[in-house]
Amino acid sequence: MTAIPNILLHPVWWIALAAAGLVVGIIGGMFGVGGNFLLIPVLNIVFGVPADVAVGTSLCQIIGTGVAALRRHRRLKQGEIKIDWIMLMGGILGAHAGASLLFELSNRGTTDVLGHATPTAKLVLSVLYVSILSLVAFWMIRDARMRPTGAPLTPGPLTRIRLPPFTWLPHANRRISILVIAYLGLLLGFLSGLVGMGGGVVLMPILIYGVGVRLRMAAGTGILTLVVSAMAGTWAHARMGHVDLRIAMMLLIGSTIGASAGATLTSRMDGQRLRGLFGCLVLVTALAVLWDLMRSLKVV
Amino acid sequence: MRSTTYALACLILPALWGLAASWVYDAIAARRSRHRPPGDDSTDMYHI
Repeated sequence: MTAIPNILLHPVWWIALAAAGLVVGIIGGMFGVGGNFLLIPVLNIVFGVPADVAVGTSLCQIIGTGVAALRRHRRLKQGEIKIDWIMLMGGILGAHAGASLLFELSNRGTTDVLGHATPTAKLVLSVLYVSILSLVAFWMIRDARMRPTGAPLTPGPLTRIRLPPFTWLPHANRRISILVIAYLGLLLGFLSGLVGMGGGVVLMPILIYGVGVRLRMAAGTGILTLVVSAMAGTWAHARMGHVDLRIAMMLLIGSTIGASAGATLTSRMDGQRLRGLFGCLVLVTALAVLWDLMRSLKVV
Repeated sequence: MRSTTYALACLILPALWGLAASWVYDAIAARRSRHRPPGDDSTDMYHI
């Protein structure tokens, strides 16, 4: 098992972990996402938790926040549940494949980059993180500048793929290929197992801009897949020794309190402004991960 | 390799915590809804 720093076993750090969970929960609650895109860099950069353990542990805490969100969205009848059922099997297979790949990368030890030995898992995860988050930040900031709150969404490019069989999405009022959704589930599960994210921060932009689903509906879609793939990923990571249940539970205590507070905080904020703010936050996270990678490569 | 029991605990404990948290959310939302005017959705999450 990849060792976590001994200092994290001290009760003071447990409180710090719960506080980190609280902050991530507030941000997640504010923007309607799980907040794992922020949690993994915080665990890795601030607390010094190895990248593979950070991924496994944050997947474990996603189960808790995801179950709470799933129950709430089902009660409010938000989300295209049909998409969830189609994505489910791909999500499970993808999560297992992603976790196995991360295990392989962890076992590879270090890679020599610019004359500096860097852990292979950290290198691959950092590059993926920066790429995915930069793309999401670009979309969100661009959308916040161009589309005012409540403006109609046009059918996205994914709905134009002619690959039968098709299914009808009643809430989005769009027709879409079942195979496209199934492969989307595989991709999300893979990202979930490999980098520990894939819910709000990846699926929501795809649903909004790729399919043309309204944000309120997009937020309720994919949570079932997210929870199930987080379970599959947690199982695989836990067996490999990449999950610290104590850290996950401390984070969960903070994040469940924070999520409720975050949602209340922004209940009166303008949607367009929130999208821009979210894009900026994602961009700052991407830059922090990039800075940490460059620091470990002794570039800065 | 960690034990199957540990892996199961990693699945069950967070899920139980999440369920408990959602029951608390529901209780808070029900309490608030008794004190707010009709049409006020200020406790709704996911609203960007």
